[in-house]
Amino acid sequence: MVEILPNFKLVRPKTVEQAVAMLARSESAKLCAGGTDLIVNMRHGLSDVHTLVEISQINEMQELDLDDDRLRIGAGVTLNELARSNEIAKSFPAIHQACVAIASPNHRNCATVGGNLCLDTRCLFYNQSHWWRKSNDYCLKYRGTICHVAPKGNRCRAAFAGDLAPALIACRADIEITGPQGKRVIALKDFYREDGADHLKLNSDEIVTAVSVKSTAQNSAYKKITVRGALDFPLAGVAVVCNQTPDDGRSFSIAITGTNSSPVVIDVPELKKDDNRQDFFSALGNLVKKSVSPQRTTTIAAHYRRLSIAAITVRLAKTLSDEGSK
Amino acid sequence: MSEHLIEATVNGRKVRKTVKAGTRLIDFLRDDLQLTGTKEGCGAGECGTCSVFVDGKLMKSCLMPVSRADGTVIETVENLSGGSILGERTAVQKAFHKMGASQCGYCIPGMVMAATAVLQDNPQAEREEIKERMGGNICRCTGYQKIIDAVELARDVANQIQPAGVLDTEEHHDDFIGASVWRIDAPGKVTGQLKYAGDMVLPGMLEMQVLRSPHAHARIVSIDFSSALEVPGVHAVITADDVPGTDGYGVFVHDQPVMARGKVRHVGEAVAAVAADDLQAAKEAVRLIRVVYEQLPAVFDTDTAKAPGAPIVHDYAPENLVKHIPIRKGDVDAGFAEASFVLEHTFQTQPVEHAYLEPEAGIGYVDADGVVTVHSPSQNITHHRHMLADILDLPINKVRMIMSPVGGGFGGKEDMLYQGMLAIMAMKTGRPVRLVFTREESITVSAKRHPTRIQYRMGVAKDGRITASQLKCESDGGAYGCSTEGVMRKMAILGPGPYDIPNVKIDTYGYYTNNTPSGAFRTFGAMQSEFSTEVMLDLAAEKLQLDPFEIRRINGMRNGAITHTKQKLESVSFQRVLEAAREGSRWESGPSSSRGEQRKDLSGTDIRPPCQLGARFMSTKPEGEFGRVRGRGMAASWYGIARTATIDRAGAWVELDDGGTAKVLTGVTEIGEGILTVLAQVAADELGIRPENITIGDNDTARSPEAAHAGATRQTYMIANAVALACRNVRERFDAEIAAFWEVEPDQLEASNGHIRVRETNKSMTMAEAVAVCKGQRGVVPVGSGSYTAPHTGLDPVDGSGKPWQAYVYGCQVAEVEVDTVTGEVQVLGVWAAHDVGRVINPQGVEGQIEGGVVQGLGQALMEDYQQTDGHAVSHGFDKYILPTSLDVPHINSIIIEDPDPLSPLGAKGIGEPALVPTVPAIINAIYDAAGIRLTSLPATPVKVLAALRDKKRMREGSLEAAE
Repeated sequence: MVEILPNFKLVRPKTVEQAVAMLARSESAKLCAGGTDLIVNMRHGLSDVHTLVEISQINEMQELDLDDDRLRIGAGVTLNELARSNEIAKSFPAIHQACVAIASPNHRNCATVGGNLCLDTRCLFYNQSHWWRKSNDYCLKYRGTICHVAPKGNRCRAAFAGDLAPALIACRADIEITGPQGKRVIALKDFYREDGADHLKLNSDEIVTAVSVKSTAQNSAYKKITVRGALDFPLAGVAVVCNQTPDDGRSFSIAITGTNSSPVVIDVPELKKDDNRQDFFSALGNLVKKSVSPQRTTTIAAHYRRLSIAAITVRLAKTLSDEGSK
Repeated sequence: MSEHLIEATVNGRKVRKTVKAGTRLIDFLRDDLQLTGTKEGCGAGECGTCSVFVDGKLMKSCLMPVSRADGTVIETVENLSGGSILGERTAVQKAFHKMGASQCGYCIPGMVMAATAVLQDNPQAEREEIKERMGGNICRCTGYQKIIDAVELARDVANQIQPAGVLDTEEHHDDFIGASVWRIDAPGKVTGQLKYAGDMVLPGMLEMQVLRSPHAHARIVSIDFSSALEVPGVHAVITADDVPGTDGYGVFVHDQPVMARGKVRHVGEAVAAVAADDLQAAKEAVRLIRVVYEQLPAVFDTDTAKAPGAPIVHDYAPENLVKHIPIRKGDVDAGFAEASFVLEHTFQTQPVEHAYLEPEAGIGYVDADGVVTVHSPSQNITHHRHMLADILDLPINKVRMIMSPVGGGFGGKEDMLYQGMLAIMAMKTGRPVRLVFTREESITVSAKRHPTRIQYRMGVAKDGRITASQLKCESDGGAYGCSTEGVMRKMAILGPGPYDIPNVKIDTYGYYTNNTPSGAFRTFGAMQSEFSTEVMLDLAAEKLQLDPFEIRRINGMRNGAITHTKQKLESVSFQRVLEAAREGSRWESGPSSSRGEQRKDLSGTDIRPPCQLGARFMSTKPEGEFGRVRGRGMAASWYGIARTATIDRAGAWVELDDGGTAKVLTGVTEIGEGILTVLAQVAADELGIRPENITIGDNDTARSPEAAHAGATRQTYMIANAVALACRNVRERFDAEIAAFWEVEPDQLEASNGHIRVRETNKSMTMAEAVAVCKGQRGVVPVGSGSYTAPHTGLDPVDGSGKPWQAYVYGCQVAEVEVDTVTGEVQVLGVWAAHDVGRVINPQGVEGQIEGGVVQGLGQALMEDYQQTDGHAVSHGFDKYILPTSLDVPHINSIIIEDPDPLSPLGAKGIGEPALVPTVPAIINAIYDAAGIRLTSLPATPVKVLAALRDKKRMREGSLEAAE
C-alpha cells in the first residue's frame, strides 16, 4: 500500500552553482522542482532519495524572456506562469496548448517547465505502490528483472508522457544543461534516449536550467488523447508546426509523446504546392504509425494509441496547412 | 531521523514547529495544527480535496513536503470564515450554500478554495473558463453543475451584476414542502468545520494499519508477527484468531471473515492488523509480519467459475453460485412465435468503483460502561451492530455504532469492511483506535458494481409491441457475497423495463470468483439489465423505423399494468414522464436510425460547448472541425422505492421543545443527498414551525430509533414518513392540551410558521408560548413517535411473482453527444432528464441528485473501468481509474414530474438511484445516432468507439466492393 513519505533531507540552493555542488556531493541526492510527480513516486517507494535538492529558490531559473530573437524559458518557470503569457499563446500556440493540457491548474501552480521535460517515464507496472509491485514481482525499471509489458525484451518500455517536450521539439528547441563543467546546450530532441529506465541524457550532477526556441511566429498546435478533459497524462500527444515555404508549399515539424520511452520526432517531407494532398496525408498517417511503438503501459490499449495518434497528427497537419502560414 | 524547523504564517498567525522531514504540508496542517478542513482524498494530487493557498497560489498540499513550505504564507479553508463556523463566510461559501453545491461535503473545502482561486485570477471568468480552472478538483456527488453555478453566482455578486443580498437572505417560504430550503448542513461543509471520521482524534488514540493479501487465492500456512510486536510503539497485532464470537459478515450471506481465516480469497483481503502509537510504527510493524502462503488455483471470470472442476472459492458453494433469481411470466416461446422478428444480442458491463472522495475511516473504543463503540461513515449502522454483536459475542446493547458524516457512499459503505477490526483492536488494547484507508486500499478492497454479461432475446410484433423478453444475466460477484443476492434480485425484477410484456423469462446469476468483491452500488443491478433493455428497444425501433419514444409509448406501462412479477400497479406515471422528456428536450421525431447531423434539434442553447483546452486563448481554432459528428439518443427507466421484496420499516422520535423548537431523533444517514434538510422541512411543515428550529440528532444505535440503511432510495420514503407520523403523534397530544387550555376542540387548531391559533377566532400564540403552556400549565411534555411500514412481500422462488415494492418511479433521459470520428473520443454536451419523484420536498435537492446521477452514468457509459489482472487491481488511483472531471460534464436539464404516491402519508417517492439508470443507454443510443456505431460493451472508451468506426468503414467498403 502507499507509504508515508520517506525521511529525507531537503536542501534549497539559491544558485545553480550551489545546486550542482549539492548534487555532486551525494549519490542519492535528487533534484526536486514542483515535485508533483516525484512526491507521488517517493510515496510509492520508487526511489532511495536521501537528499532532495529543491530548486524553487533559484531566481536565475525563473526567468521567462521573449525578445525578437529567442524565447527562453527558465526551467524553474511554473507551468501556469508559462500559460499566463499571452505572447507565447499567440506566437507559439503548440507550446501554450501543451502547457494548459498538463494535469490540472493546481498542479500547474507548482509544476515547472524543467520538471515536465525531465518527467519520469510511466507504466502500469511501475507507477504502483511498493506493496503492489512487490506482489507482482517488481519490474525491470526498478528492482525487478523482467518487463511485464514486453517480457521477451531486455529493456524497459515505460513511456515518456510529458506534454511540453513534443511541443518544444517541434519548435526545434534547445535545452541548456548546467553541470560541474559549466553549461552545455543541445537540441532538445537529442536530450532523450529510447530506454524507459534511463531516458534522459542527463548526468546525476547536472541540471536542466532553461529551454529556448527561435522566436519566429509559427502556425502550430498540440493535441493529446485522453479519456477525460483534465488530470490525465497523454495516452499519446502530438505537436505540429507548419510553415509556408517560399514556393507556397508547406513544411512540417512534428513530434509525438506518450507512445515511446522518449519523444518521437517524425521526419516529414515537404508538401509541395502541386502534390496530391490526399496521398501526402495518407503517407503521413502511415509514417506516424510506423514510427511510434506504444506498449501496454496504460489502461488503454496500445494499438488504439498508435491509430489515434496517427489520425490526429494528420488532422492537425491538414488543418494547419489549410489555414496557411503567417 | 532528520527534522526541520518550520516557520510559516498559517491563516494569519505565525507558526513555528519542528517536524519530521517526511511530513507533507497536508499532515502538518491536519495533525500539527488541527486544521482538518483540508481533506485527504487520494494522497496523490489527483482529487484536489487538499487544496490550499501557498503564497497566494492554489496548491495540492499532499504533494508538498512541509519543508518546502518553510517561510511561506499558507491559507486554508478555515481562514475564509475566520476559523469558525460562526465567522462571516465569503461570497463563494455563501453561494455554495445557496445553490446547493455541497452534497456529501468532502470535496467541498477544496472546491471552495479552487473557486476562490478562479475568481482571484480572473474576476470575470466565464463558465467554460471556470470549469477549466477547476479541473483539478474531483467531485463525485454533484455532477459539478451546482458548483459551477455557485461560482458564477459569486462572480456576479462580486461584479455587482447581482445584489449581495441574494447570498444572505433565503427566500421566505410559507410552505416548506416543495420549496428549495437551503441545506441545513451546508455551512459546516463550506467552512471545513464538519468533522469526518478521519478528522477525529481521541485522547490516547492508536493508529491501526492492515496487512493485506498479495495473492488472489491462497491458503495461509502461518502468520508470524513476533518481530512486529518488537517495533517500539506497537501495542498489539490481531488476526482471525482474535475474533471472540461467530466470525462472518455480509449484507445477505455472512461469508466474509473480519480478517482472512485459513485462506485469502482476493488480493487486498485483510490478513492481520497492527495498532501503534503512530502511523509510522504501525506501517513498519505491518511490513515485519511474515505470512507463509500456499497459493491455490484461482478463478477470475464467471465462465470459469461455473464450469465443472473450477477452483472453489467457498466450500459452502461448490458451484461458486451465490444466487440465482428466476422470474417467469406467460410463455416466452409462444411470445417469440408470435413476434414478427426476434432480436438477439449480448451485452457486457464493467466493474465500477464508487470513488467516494472520503476513503473509509473509523474510530473504535470501549466506553466507561464497557460498551464497544465504533464511529464510522457506515451506510447501515443498524445492521452493522447486529453483525458486530455476533462477531464480538456480546449482548446487542453492549455494541454501539455511531455514524460519522459520510463523505460519499453510493452503496460502497454498506459493507462492514473494517469496523470489526477496529472493535476487536479497541477491546484488545483498551485504547481508542483509528484506521484511515489510503485511496489505494479503498479502491482495492471495497466492493464494485457487478460486471455483468446479459444475453438478451426480444420478440417484437409488427406494430411495435414486445411479445416476449428473455434475459440471462451473469454477474461476477467476486470473492465475497456482500450484496450480490439483492443485486441479482433487483436486476431481475426491473430488467425488462417499465413495459407491458405478456411473456417474460429472466434468470440472474451471481458467481463467486477471486476478483475484488462486487456489492451494492447506486441502482443495485438495475442499471446493468435496464441498459441492455433500452439498447434493445432502440434496435427494435430502428428495425420498425419507429421513433424511439414511440416504441416506448406503445409498450410503456399504464395505470393497472401487471409487472413482470405479476403485481398490479395502480398509478403509473410513465407515459407522462416520456412526454415530458420529449417536450423538454425539443426532440425531433423520426425513426431511430442513424440520423445524426440531419437532425434539427441539435446544438440548442441548453447544451454546453465541447471542451477544447486552451481554446479561449486562441485566435483560431486549435484544430479543424472535421471528423466531429453530433447526435441524440434517449432511454427510459423505472425503479422501485425502498427495500426490495421484504417488509421495510423506519422509526422516529420527536419532541416539541422549549422556545417552539423541536428535536427529531431517528437513525437517518445523511449520505450527502440532503435528507436532513428534507426531514427538517417535513417536521417543520407537520409541527407548524420553521426548518431552522428543528434539531436532528445524530445517528447512533444507542440513542436513536432504528431507521435502517441509506440505500434503496428509501430514506425520503421511509424516514420522512416516519418523521411525519411522529410529528402527527406529537401534535395530537400537544393539540389536545392546547385545546383544553383554550377550551376549544383540537380540530379547530392550526399551526404554521411558529404560531398556533384557533381557526376563525383571534386566539393565537407563538409556538414558544404554546410549549410553555403545554409543559408549565398542563404538565405534559409534548413527545411522540412514529413508525412507517412498507409492506413489501418476498418473491416466489419458482416464478418470482410477488409485490417487491409499493412505490415505483419512472424516468426518461435524452442525451446529445459529439463523437470525434478521428480519435473515438465522445463528449456528452447535453442531457435532459425527466423523473417522477412523487411529491417533491426540495426541488434543488432533487436536481442535485439528478445531476450527480447523470454524471455517474456518464462515467460508466464512457470511461470508468476497474481493471484487474489476475485479481490485482490495476486502476486503483484516480490517475488510472478515470472518472469525470468538471470538463467532461454536459449541461443537465432536470425535468421534475410529481406523481404523488397514494399509499404513503407524504406522497414523496425518491430519486437517489433512479437518476443514473437511463443515462448510460441514452448516451450509447446517442453515439449510434451520431456515428452509426452500436456499442454493447461498456464503457464506450475511445478504443471501442474507434474500433467500431473502423469496422463500420470496412463493412461499408466491403459491401461497395461486393456491389461492384
